[in-house]
Amino acid sequence: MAEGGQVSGAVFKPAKDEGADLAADPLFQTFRVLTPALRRFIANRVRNDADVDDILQDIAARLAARDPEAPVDNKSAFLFSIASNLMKDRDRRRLVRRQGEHVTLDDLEIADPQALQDQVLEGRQRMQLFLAALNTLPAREREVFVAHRMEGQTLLQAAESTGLTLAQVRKLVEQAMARLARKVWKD
Amino acid sequence: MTGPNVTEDEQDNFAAARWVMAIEEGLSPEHAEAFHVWLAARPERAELIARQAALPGMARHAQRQAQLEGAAQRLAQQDLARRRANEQALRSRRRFLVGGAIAAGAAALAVAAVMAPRDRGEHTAEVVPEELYETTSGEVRVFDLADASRIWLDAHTQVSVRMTRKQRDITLAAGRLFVDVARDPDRPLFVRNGQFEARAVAAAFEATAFADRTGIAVTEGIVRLTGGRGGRAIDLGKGQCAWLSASGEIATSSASAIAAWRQRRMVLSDRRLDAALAELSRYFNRPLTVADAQLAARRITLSFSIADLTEAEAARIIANAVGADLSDQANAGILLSPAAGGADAGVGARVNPR
Repeated sequence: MAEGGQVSGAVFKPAKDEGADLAADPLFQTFRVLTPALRRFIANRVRNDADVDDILQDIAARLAARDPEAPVDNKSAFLFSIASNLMKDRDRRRLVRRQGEHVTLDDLEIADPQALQDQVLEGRQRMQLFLAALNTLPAREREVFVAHRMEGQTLLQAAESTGLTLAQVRKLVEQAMARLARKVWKD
Repeated sequence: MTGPNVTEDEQDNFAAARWVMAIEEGLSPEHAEAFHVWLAARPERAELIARQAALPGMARHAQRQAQLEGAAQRLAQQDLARRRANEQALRSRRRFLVGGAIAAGAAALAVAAVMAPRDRGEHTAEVVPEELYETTSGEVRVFDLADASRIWLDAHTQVSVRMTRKQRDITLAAGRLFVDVARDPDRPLFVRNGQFEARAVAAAFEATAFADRTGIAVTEGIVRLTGGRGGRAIDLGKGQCAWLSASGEIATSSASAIAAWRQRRMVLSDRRLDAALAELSRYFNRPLTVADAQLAARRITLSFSIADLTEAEAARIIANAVGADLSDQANAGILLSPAAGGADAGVGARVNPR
């Protein structure tokens, strides 16, 4: 995959005066690590490469603009969520253009109720699968997954509260994550 | 998870989970490079990473949903419990779980109650989703449950389904359902109603909770029925059915054509005419009734398809079978009455199609 080589490409180079701060920001570091994955994720959902670059650029801009003091619990989730939202915004803007530029973004929320319904239904079905999958996890795996991924405990806190070692907790969480993903997206 | 038989997809899935965990903790430049090499080797791997990133959001959404819907669900349950309290106190001394809160108008609405360990003082978190299913007049629907069991709901039926780690609970609030139970010896499936409890591990059976007819009929496997006076338990096998009388007696018999309603066939076997009409009326908007006590007590055995019938046509079939007259009622219903000119007069009965 060619994208692998573009991780630290010029597209995401931060402004000079903010460079040092941004490079030290854990969220921006995570963004750099995840860029090839984000690129493929976006490319699977938008039509042309220029859009992919634009969206990645937008993500970088948002990261630069955010308050660096505000902690982000789950960096990968945060980055993929920004990517999803930017793609949605893009679709909305495109729809506005098609309808003659006279529609505000607020109006657009109800412009395509069927699409919205499909999206909600899809969400509901996935949610049902997720809950069913969570229920069938082995007790220990569920416990540490809930503590670490849902309640925001650190691995160390989860280890302390369960009496397990850090390595054991990490392995259990990883197993739970893999099992959940397999069951939620079994199609 | 990494044994010799594990597929490449499963290995990738597990690797994606490990990479996301590692990325969250911070990767060294060498590890970041290794991640990019891994990612580039298969295009699908980026999606696996995205799914892992989406899981915590789903978890949080489930919690929010539970908080929002918890209040509404509690109100609905309290309302249902109030309405059933008198009926249950009279009919049974045995306590059954009343879990069904049926939201009007929603065919299938899933709600979730996510309880963190500290909320209940238990060691592990238990997530208990409840799914509510409902059918209206003339509707027969089939649903696949999360455990791979399948349920058919007859017309005017309300059920709620709750899957936990130890058991699968279906509460039949009203109507009739057929369950094809997915085999799971560690997690028995219960169908409960105010009057009975049916337990199965791998079976197929019908459960009925009509006003005048309550019980189960088994087509596959073994079902343990508990209920009636004294909470008696009996095991029923293929082709057996059990009905609870108003006094709490359980009468068992053999049965054929169980749950023919799934194929939209009305199979009446030695049924009282008034009960048969009540059952038939479930499929139509116009009620079919009988006022004459003697005619109401007539017993009827009949089998016919209701797939494309109007109320009037269905009423005609029954009227012909018992030799009754038909007439339209002010409430849009259709009344069966003793034939004016003797047993054969019903053949010439008149009724408006709609």
